[in-house]
Amino acid sequence: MTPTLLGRWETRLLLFATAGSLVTAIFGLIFHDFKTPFLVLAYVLLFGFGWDAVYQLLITYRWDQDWPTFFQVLAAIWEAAFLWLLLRTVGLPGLKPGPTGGQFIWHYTFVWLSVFVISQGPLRTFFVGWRYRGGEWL
Amino acid sequence: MLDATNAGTLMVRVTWSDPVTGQAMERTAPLPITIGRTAENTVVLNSDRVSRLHTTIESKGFDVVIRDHNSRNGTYVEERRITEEVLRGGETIQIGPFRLAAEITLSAQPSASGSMPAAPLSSSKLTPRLVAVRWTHLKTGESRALSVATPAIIGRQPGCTIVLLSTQVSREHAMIEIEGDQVIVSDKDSGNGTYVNGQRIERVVIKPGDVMQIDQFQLTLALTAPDTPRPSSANAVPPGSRPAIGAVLPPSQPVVVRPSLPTPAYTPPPAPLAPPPNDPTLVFSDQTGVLLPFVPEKPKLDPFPPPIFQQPVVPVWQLYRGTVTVLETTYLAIGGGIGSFTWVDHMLSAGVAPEQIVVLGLEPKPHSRYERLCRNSQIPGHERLRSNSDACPDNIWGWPSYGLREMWGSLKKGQLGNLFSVAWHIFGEPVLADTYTPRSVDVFAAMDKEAIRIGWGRIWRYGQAKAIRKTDDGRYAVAVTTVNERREPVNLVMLARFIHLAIGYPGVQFLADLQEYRDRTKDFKRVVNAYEQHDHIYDHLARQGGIVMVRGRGIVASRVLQRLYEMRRYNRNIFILHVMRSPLLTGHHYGHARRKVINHMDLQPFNWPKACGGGTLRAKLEKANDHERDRLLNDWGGTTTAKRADWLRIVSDGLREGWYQIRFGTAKRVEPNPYGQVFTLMKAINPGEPENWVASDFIIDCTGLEAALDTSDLLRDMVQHHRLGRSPKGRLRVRNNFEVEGMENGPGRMYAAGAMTLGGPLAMADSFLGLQFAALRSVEALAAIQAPGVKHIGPWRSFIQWTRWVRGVKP
Repeated sequence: MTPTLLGRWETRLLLFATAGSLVTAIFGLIFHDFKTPFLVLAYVLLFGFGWDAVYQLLITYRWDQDWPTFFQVLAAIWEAAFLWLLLRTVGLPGLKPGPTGGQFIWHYTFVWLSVFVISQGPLRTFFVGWRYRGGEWL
Repeated sequence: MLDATNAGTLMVRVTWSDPVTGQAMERTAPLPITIGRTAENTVVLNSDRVSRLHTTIESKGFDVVIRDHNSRNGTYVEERRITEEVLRGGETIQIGPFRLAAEITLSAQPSASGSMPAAPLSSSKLTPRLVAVRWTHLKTGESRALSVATPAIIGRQPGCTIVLLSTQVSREHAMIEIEGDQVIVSDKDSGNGTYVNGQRIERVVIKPGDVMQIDQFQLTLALTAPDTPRPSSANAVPPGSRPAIGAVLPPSQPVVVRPSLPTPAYTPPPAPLAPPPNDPTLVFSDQTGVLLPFVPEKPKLDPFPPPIFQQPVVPVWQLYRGTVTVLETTYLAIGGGIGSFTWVDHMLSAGVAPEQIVVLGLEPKPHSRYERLCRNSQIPGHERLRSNSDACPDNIWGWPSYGLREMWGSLKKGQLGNLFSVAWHIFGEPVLADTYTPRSVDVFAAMDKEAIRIGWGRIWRYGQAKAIRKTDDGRYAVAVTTVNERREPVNLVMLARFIHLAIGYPGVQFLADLQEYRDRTKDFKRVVNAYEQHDHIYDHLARQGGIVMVRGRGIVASRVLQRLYEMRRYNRNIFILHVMRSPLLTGHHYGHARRKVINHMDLQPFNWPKACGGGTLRAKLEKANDHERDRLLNDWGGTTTAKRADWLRIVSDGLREGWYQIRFGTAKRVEPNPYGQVFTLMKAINPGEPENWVASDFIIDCTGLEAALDTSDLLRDMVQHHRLGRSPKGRLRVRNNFEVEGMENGPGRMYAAGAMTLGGPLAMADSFLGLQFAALRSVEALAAIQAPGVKHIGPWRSFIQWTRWVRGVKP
């Protein structure tokens, strides 16, 4: 992947609004609580916008200015750990009891897997210029 | 003794090559000179790694010194960073990505103040008097006349004052000057000579009635009075005292003195190579597209394209009244290779009917030429191309990528080892594993399948475009040579509203000394280009062993080394001498990043940093202006090879075991030796070391493909006739949507793709991904101007088209 900052943001927004929301809604149905998983999703998205800027800075240290698949996995683990740490230490508005560890891990993993798989290919079947524009689709 | 104040002026001749195109550059100027990035320097090097004022070369007492101006990235002489150093001439100077050579000469007369342009033609400020020149082609009777300011250059090259189009005419063939009231003609060391009244001349005064001849062109010259005698400008140089090095001067007035036996501070500069009689290129046959081992003699001034093509714009009604057959189409793709194929693929997906498109090419399969070049340069079917997994010329979405398809294929065949290997490469590249690249055989098979799906066979026609002109009704007329049903050659003219040009590389580059050797000895067996068929070398080596000299250090060199390594399984007596101009210890850097160098070779997965294809660097280049593009391309470009564990191991094993050696220096000349081998005269990089002859059984030139626009007759003619601009890399000038600038004609538009668009919006111009990108951009542009049948490929259309691709039904 060779993303641009705008491309990262646009793709993140699109995939969280579609695949991410769908997976989250399924979780809401299972646990009869829509507020918690959707708030978690919103926080992942919000912090993600910040992380994206950091990743774009790191990219300039790479000659190819690319973002290998392996790094995407590392970034996903890091983002989850960071959010969980915040939830458990200072807490986040609206998530005072928050999800349990098991709920958080399963929810996060499924959201991330759906987003990852779709961004690896199927997204391109709708947006033929997506890959040239570093992930920008708007 | 050299005395800069009395005897004359010290001149320095700086030569370097463009790090991307390899084009040779030269500048000669009196000392002192400045080298830097900004335009006011004597030598302008356009790269972020070059400081504004980087280096100066100046005289200091009896010495010539090179001085670094606290530049950020330093000045290197013979790989050492210097602050101030005495130059002896002939050293290699490294400044940013540029490698320069400086030669010091002495001009006997003081020069005018300021620097002297290396090519003194256009900017010369001599008294403006004109020479009336009339020339006639002896065979065709075609005649032209022009009054020219002097000095005027006659030659084949487009920059010449008088351009004579024939391969028998040298790039710069002869020069016309005025001295007093006399017209002087001098031959510029041309290959085939300049004749006056039947005598081959070097320099003569032209008398009234004298007839001059160059090849089949007969010329008459006469001095005319200037229309309005302009006063010469303040800094004009009086006639006769122009000391530019390289200019032709009367033998009785030796202005340029090469310090051949001067003070010990100087060593003799290298004697210039004799100019090769032909271009250092191989070209593809007009008829078959096969690479020819020599430049064919072209029939002089073919009567086709029809004379109507000489008009600024072709009047269509006159064309129809002529004798030549005229065919019409809406869309015409010229080239017929992978560039045309991806464009047609996009066009059909955008809704265009196949009947509206005609593709002209020499071979029915779009990948024929590419495949042949791959095979010759040692990429057999099972080997992998240097191309990204999702750069798929058979699929406009790049998905499923070749990696996924290979995994699927392996799963079906039960090859689980390969399945996991591919998966690991795709997941781990380039951090944990080498970058995944597809097998060439898979890519070609996928293109064949797609060709059947889109009905390529009905769109493609055998034909070679000879000339392109705008018409008076907003279209383009293309002169085409094709064959009729009886396979006899016929000429016709095709009219089209929209044209797509993707002709690829016009030829294969040859190192000048090797081309000269081949022209002289007609030995096409011992000295070869890696892109030619040269399996006889490997066969010979397997049987008898031998020494192979490899020239060049790009991806092709790596492939050839791999093949030679494989041959060592059959014969241990195979030795490899890898000739490199100079050591390479550090790679290019850009921003915070630096390119990796191992074993004196630059390493990166593809031809350009990955983000040039679809990320930050692509966006940056697209936004940049000409000057910035030139600089960015210089910083990102250069000759590179891929980092492959097996290639690294081959070189390190070879170095350790001694059968692979790297030899630094410059090859000057190649000669046959009595033992059936070839000798190469090598000039070492250290000025003190003597030149020596190096023997080898074979020489393989791995320096690459020739991409100069002027090598293509079609493009050179089009650019000249329609006075088109050029990109910063000397290729076609295209807009960000790949429209050829200056070729718009009412509603008519022309687009281009591939190697000929380098210097435009995309660095990876000649890659599969680049061809797809260019195709998409031009199809989007056609949709925006509502060209017939072209619809915008929005999300819905894109998805529907993708499902059709999956099902294998026509778009």
